[in-house]
Amino acid sequence: MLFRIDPSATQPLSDQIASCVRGAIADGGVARGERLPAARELAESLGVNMHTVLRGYQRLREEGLIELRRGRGAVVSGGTDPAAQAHLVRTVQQLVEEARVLGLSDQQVLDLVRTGLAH
Amino acid sequence: MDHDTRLRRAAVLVLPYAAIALVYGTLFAMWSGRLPEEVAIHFSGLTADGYSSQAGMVWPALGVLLGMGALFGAAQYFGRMPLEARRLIYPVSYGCAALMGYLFIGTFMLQLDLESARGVALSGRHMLAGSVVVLLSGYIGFRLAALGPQDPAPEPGGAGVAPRLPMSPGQQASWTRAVGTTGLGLLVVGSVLLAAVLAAALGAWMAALPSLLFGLVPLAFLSVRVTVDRRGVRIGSGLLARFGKTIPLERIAGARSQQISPMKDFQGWGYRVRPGRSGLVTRTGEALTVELVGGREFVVTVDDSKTAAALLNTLVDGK
Repeated sequence: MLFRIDPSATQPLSDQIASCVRGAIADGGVARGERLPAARELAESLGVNMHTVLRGYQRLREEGLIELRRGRGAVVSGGTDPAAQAHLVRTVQQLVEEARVLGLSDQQVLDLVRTGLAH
Repeated sequence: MDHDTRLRRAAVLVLPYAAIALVYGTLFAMWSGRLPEEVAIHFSGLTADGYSSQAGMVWPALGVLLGMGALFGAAQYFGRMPLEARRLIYPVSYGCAALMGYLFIGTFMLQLDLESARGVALSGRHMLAGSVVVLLSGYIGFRLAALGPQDPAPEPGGAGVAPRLPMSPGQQASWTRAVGTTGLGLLVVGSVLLAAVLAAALGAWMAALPSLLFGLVPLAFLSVRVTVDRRGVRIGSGLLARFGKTIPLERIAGARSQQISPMKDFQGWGYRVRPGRSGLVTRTGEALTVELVGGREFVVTVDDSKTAAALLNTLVDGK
């Protein structure tokens, strides 16, 4: 799995790390059950703080793409089809980005999604 | 090595076993009436101390002969042995065949027209003749090993691709992946461990130890991770973190992705050292080949090695 981060970019480093993993899962480069590098090792490798990596992993966990287990580290989960799940998360990100550009409030975005779900 | 050559070489290994089995089977079919009802099948020192029915002698003997032949034939066919490996395996195979043939046929002839097989004994002269037959057969195997078409010369540095990975200044990159292995590898490791557990359960602790070791060492390789970043190439993590190997970027001249066959390129699996190159090879297929300053190479079998090689080349370009 390739991690590429740019410390000078506006996007937080933890989000950049998360999006590298998400991309790899979406492309099928990382399969279900595969283990991500240990946070400490990846942090040393990229020259960032370990907590930055952990924040990125935490986000992926909230997106349902990985599981964090004590002793076993981070393992790709993502339901029956991790690649499709990763795609879905990307689509949600796009939705949020477009809504921000339009200046919608969080509540307005949630209402929009709720309306979509109701039909 | 083309398919026909592999098949022919496998046949050369199977041949002595098949021939001996044929001779032994024919002798038995012709003369089993001349054997005592209870035949000697086990000797301690030179004297018989184990007996069996005639069927209990002939079927296991034929089974062992054909089984060994199939084993050596399959090793040659699937292992694609290079000349160095054939020079070792052929004499062993031919010597083994001669030893078994001499013992099976010899003890058969020894018992012809005997009233009882009790106490039948081999003589020192028999053993001497047997040793000569085994050595001769081993020598024939050694000569046969070099027959047939020559192995193609390895292409030095030619095979493989050395791409680059586009990176903007200020970017940090790290590529990491677990070392690949095959289902067959896992099966072998699993069976060796199972054998160790069984041996231990039966109380054979001393026999279990080597199996345990041979099973556990490859198991440790399964958790190995390859990492490429600004520091260079790092092999090892998890269980082996302390024993990991790091090749600093200063010592790296370049990298490429290459197809590797463990038997052909390294004469075996595991951590291998060959003239000019060393490596961690766990399966057939793609591998990351790191070209070191000074001309040596380090090879590790890992998937997505093209990306790893591209990143490493980019890092080397920028140092």
